Amino acid sequence: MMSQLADKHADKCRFCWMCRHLCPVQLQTGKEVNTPRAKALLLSMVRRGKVYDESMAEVMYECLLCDACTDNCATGYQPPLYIREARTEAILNDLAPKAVSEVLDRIEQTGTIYGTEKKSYGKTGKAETLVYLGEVAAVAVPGMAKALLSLLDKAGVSYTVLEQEPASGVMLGDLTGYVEEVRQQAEICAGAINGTEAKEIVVLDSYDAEIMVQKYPEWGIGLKGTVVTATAYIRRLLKDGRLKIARKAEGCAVYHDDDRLARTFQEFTEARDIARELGYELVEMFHHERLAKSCGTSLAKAYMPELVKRIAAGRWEDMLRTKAEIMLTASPQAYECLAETVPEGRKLVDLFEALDGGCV
Amino acid sequence: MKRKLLVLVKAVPLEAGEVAMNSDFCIARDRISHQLNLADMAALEAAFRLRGEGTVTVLTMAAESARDVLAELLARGADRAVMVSDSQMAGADTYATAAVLAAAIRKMGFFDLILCGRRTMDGETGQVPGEVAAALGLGCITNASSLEAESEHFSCTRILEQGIVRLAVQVPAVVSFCEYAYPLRLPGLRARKVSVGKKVEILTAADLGLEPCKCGLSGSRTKVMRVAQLEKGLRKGPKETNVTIGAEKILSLIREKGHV
Amino acid sequence: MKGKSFMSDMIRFELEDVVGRENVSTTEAERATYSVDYFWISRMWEDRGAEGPMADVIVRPGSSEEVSRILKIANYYKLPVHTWGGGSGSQGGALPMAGGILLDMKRMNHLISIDENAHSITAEAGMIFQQLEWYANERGYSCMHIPSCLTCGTIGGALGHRGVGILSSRYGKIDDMCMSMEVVLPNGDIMNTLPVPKHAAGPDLNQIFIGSEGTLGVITKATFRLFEQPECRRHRGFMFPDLTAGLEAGRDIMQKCQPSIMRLFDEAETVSIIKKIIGVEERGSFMNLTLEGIAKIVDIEMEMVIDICVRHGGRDMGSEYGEKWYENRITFFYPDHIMDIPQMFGTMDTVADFSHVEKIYWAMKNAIESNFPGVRFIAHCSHWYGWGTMIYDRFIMDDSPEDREEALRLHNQIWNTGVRAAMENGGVINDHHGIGLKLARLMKEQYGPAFQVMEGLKKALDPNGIMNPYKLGL
Repeated sequence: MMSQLADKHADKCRFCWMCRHLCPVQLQTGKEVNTPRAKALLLSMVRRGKVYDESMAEVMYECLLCDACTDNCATGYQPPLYIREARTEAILNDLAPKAVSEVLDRIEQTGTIYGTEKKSYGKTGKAETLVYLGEVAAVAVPGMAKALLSLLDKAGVSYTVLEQEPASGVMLGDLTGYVEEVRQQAEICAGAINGTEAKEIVVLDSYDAEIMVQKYPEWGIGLKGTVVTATAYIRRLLKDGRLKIARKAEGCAVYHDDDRLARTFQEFTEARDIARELGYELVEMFHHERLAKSCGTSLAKAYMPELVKRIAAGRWEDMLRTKAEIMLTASPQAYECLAETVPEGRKLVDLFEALDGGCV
Repeated sequence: MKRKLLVLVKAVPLEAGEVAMNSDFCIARDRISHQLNLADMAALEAAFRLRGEGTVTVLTMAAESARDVLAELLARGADRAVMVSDSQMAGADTYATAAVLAAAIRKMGFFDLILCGRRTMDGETGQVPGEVAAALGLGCITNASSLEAESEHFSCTRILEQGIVRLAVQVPAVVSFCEYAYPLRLPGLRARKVSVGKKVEILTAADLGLEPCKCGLSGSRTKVMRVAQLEKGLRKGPKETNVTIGAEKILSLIREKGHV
Repeated sequence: MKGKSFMSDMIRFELEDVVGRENVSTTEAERATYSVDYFWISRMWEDRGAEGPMADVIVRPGSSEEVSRILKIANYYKLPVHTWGGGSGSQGGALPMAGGILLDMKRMNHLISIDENAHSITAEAGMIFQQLEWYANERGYSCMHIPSCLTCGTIGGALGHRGVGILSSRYGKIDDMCMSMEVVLPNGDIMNTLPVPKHAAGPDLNQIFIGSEGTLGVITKATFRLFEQPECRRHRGFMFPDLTAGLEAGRDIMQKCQPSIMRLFDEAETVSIIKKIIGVEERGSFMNLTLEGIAKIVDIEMEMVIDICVRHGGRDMGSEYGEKWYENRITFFYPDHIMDIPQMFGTMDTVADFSHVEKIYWAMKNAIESNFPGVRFIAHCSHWYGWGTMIYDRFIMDDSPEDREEALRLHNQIWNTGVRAAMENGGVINDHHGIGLKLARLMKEQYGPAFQVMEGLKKALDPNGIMNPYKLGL
């Protein structure tokens, strides 16, 4: 039982072929089911009496929710809208792939997709600036989390992190669709954030930032502070002279725009400015900024690691057609996905870590 | 407290721009998609918050095509969903609608509070809350922005043009809510599982003992003479599907023009 | 293959042995996905809740060698093979009407080479055409094949149905752009057409496989010309008093200049579509035209074009309308901008020489409008040749019959009526959408005795008739 809104979007997409060329999953698998129109078509068939079965549920999970299709639509239809609702149906009817259920269990038991609780990072308490690290950086890409905090220390920012940082709801929301349980998770997270009385919430993972900026208000959840992406915040510290670069980096690099910074926030210049100031010679991959191809997400990697590996390799292929030897990223999720398939002779560099290495 | 709460809701067209109409100016309900009326969301959430050990029932008068919208309210946590649905009722104006709703409420028995949205997005009249209250002989508070339980009574904040008023409410009463007063909870996995066995109950004119002349177009005191639809404007500006960024761009445009 | 015995699993195992287990599928979700393409009847069928044509097994080859082995297996077991690229064809050409194997080509989507010296680009045929264009763009070139389905269809699809892009009046159709191809023949042999398309070594084999719609083999690789990006691209709009004046101007323009885009709308479409999206409110026959290339030459060409148009009673509307059309050229094809169910609609693109084209237009319009009340007929001419042009004529019926058999019958009656009117007046059955399932029954009427040439080819190359049965009338 999907909402009439989702049904409408699916009915509009079912006979539309326009955005398939941008689907990072379809580009790797070549499977017709991995196009937005196929998902819409299947759901419209379900609406008309076809049985929603495990093979359809699997199709609904073979999607990164990267929004490339939504961004392309000249009319404004949103495949992720019905894909998320179809995931809810899959979970409710016990049709979700086993690997998905396992990730769901891990979230229930430990709060993270990894099945391990988040580590603690630094100071907690009240402060004007709160750093929200997110579970990917906290568990899987600790180097990025530490580098960001170290940069704040170097800039003399008095900040706090959350004690046992609650999940923002983004992982659960992408796994189960936006159900009340996700909203409740978001409410707890917002409560913890508001408890610090921070005026600025520096969010490292753009996926967390998106749900806070877009969904929290829609769900009636207020954040007292303003959400700032980590890249925008660090860029500001550099600009204000609070961070000083002592050692320049070297080499020709491309910057990978992650899905959310690219399409939700359309933040393109901040990370590139940081990279340039740090001394990198920047070139662009053909698909960048709003058109940036997803390299996978940590959630997708948790339940379909092999496919995400291929998707990440697809992004490296884009890079290999440039003259760059370095791929820069400021997203913990992108870092986690890209790290597995670094081609020989090329390097994956965490922008925060690189900057931290260059600053006194 | 075991309160019995009733929420009046309406399924309205999903998008205002594309409402299909029949030749008699009735909305062609079977050809459009529906959503829950915005202000009704606030009323329903208010009811959930006041429920305690009691129950929340939702009631609507609608065509069969609105059944999904009601079923979704069960998944959001309503205990019971009742739909008065009868082809005789098509084309009802606010008076005829209120008469049917009042008849259904009488049949369903006593409620401590009857909550509803202050107006609907498709009709925009705001008359039904008052008409239902009058038909039942109850008091009516409109434009509420909050409703809370006190020890003896309920206290309600009501928005007026010049300010706000706080009122003590004696039950039973009808209270209509402003849009966005309470953000409605989402359908939940657990709530969905609980609601699996529940069905939307259907009542017909005959069930309510209503004569056909009291229903729909024939029971209406007003008649639609003419409907004009605004033509869609040209898409001249840059495309923006992202709500946040779109809003910012519109704001900067307004600033540029010197309106702010 | 639908047998309940374990034979189907035995065959499935053989296919898995060729392409790997993950590239063979028999799930309900996958099979259902391929049961609908862009063909109106398949969409209507789905909309009415009926099951479409289902393949028994989906196979995704990763190389020409794998395609070859699959075709050998299919020939041994006499299994139908339907080649599917993007599935965005409007003629039902990709639908698995006979069950059996559906070959989804999109895993073969790799760039093979770019030769900047020869100005050519080679890729696997399962690549979505937009990808190929992007690879060309990355090096500063363009393939200049920019159809509205650029992002929807594959290289193989464009070749298979003899497609055309919006810039065709200058750069040609897909058959002008393709230099050579690799084709897997039904018996599994992998063959190449000659390295270049112009020679005196017999008929050009490219032209046998281009437009063969998967009935003679599987196109697996293709080489295309690369064009330099134009120094400038200038748009212009003109309003003619009627279609006749516009056609005459178009004919004269094609003798002297080389516009890339030239679109002449009939009076009905000028009102409906153009007003809706571009905002032109006037009556008449609207033409938008684009000249491109070297700026100096374009300037001269533009002067000549304006001169010709004015001479035929056209009013120069400046560059704005043409620019707007160009900006919106893809928007027209997104949901809510294009016709969709519950409407019944179709594009009967026909092509003819300048002596016949207007007569055909009126014959089709009259035949449709007088025989089918409630059906609108709108048209434009969007691809021009030195000798003639095509008519992109569409019929639209706002509410199609709810009963699906009745809807199918009415749809086919409209098509028969319109297309026969075109053929009887010297037009050709189709300009660039292909034949597929939709027009297959009319191919013999179109060709007459000449059709035996095609039947001969089919018999020689595909004696078991496994390749895309029922399509193209073969």
